[in-house]
Amino acid sequence: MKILIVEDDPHQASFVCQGLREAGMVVDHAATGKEGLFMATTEQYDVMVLDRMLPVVDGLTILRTLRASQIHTPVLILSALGEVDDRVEGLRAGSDDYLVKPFAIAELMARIEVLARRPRTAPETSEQSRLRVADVEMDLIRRTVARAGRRIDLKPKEFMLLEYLMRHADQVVTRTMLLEGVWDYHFDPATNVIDVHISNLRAKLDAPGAAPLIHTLRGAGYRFGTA
Amino acid sequence: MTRPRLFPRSPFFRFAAVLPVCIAIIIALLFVPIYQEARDDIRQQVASAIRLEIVNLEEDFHEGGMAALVDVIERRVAAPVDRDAVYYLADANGGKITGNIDAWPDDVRPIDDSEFRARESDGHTLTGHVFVLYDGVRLLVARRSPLATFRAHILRQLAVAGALATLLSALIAWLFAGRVRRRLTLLAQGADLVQQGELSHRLPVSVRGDEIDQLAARFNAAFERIEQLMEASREVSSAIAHDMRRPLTRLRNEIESLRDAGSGMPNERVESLLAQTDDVLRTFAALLRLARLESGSLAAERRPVEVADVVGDVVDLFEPVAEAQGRALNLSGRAAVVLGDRELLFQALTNLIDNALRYGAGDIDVELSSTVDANVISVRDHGEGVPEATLSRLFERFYRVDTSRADDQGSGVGLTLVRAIAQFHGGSASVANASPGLRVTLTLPIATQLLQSRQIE
Repeated sequence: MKILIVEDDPHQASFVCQGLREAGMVVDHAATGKEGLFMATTEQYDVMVLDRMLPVVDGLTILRTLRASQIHTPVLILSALGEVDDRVEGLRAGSDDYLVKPFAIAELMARIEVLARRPRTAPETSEQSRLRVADVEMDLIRRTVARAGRRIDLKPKEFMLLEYLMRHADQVVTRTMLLEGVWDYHFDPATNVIDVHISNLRAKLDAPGAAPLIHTLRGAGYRFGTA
Repeated sequence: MTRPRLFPRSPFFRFAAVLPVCIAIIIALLFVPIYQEARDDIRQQVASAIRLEIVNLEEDFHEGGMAALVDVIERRVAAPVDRDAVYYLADANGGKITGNIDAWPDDVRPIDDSEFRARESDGHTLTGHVFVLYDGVRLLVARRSPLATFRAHILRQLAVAGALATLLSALIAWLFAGRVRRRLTLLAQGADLVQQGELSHRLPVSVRGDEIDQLAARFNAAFERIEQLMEASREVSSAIAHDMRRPLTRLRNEIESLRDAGSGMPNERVESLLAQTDDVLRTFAALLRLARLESGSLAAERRPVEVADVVGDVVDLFEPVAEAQGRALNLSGRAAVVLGDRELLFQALTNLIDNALRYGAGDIDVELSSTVDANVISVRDHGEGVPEATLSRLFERFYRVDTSRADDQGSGVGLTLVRAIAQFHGGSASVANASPGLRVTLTLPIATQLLQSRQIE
């Protein structure tokens, strides 16, 4: 996976690059907006990570230029601001995700993974009616869930939580991503709210003796899958 | 302290009451010497009139004897030029010879050449002289004094004029005191506004430039200073938050790479370091958000937000947490639409419910209601509440009711943020002990134009 990082703070840049390389990603780094724009238009990347506040050419300008020249590489904006208005502005400029500094490297990696795996063209056309991961089956139309043929009753939010986990099966899903994806609010869940929801879901999903499907990853979040 | 009093403590009321009393006393003091002067004058006039009369009668008596005297008296009585003159000529037993009264006044003793003062049966005062002529014949020459009539007249006039003057002075005092009072009330209301946090409010200063205006100007100068200081402290806290973020982020990153590199340090300790750093960063983020909200530089778009939906989402999110603590989270009521930002409202509600879970006890009631123009959201727990004295300080930055809770993970600006968010929506936040428990109430104005356009549809 090839990633472009456009970040002017050398410390932050080396931290991010090192983290991503350790995870097996190929990382290019641009220290200025101009350089970043040049690299983004000449090379192919799976995901671009743009710092919003860059000297001379800022992140949003780069993004608008890219989108205007029909480059639809997924872009994640990094911002020291984190306010609603900033986020809306970033998404309007054509970014696919928005992460507020400071962030955990695990959070950034999880989001990059999701962006890289996101179907690039017209994702809404082949809307599935069923999801299946391991022995869990979800009927999106009837809103029912069964594990190994055994019907499981879920509350609406638990259903949405499971749906999100299943759609991102075998990927790292952070608490912030869950709050955004399931509840549609963008804020830092300081408390253990999400954990409580997950443990409730886990209790319903894992019958005694069955292999656990929701795995907790220290310092990162959760992963849904068999192993 | 503010219990109603029978007599208002207001100096204006006292002034308005005392002034007319003083005026009344002054009028009375002025009246007494004038009255005495007039009375003496009248008495003198009466006495000299009597003396003149006696001189005349004496002349007649000397020239013509008794017959002439009787004749003169009868003529005078028959043609009464002077209604106040009284004559009475009597024999030794008091039997009437002639005169214009019916009998010898009881309390006048027949002693020659003696003065007397007596009261007639109709209330008039008689002042006069008695002479005993020969054979015990007595002559009484007197005048009815106009003093009684005069006194009655002047007293009536005094009463009317005094009452008018007193009333007038009461009116003037009332108007004047009312004016001053109104101006002072305006000042007090202005000062209240400042105290409630509207630091940019200033007291009205008129063009008169009188003492009240000078006072207002001085207060305004003090408010100016307070505002500057508050502004400065706000700027300092947001500047610190801003400048400390970068080094702290580095610190956080270093710790994270320590963990990932496997430093040999126990994992729990590294995680704990990370968590602590995150707490500090979170506090700084909250401070910065607060600064942007308070300075009005947050350009969040205001869109119609269904308050009930946002509140429902927060309750949904926190319900399992409450249940895990064996507590219930009850949502009731309905609310209308406000114009604002759902993320901010979500944050405010999150802070309130998080506080109730963290510092309160028992079930948590979230109630929605709406008045004609506002949505009211209240979050209440069933714990001990907080000491009354601390209520007014709960919205202050970094204020903690229980300072002994050093391990507290809260950012310390949660409620400050709640209030700032309410104000961002044109509303307000308040706290009260609900006994049991603490109740925090958000009042958010309803988007009325929106409501109206909906009703038209």
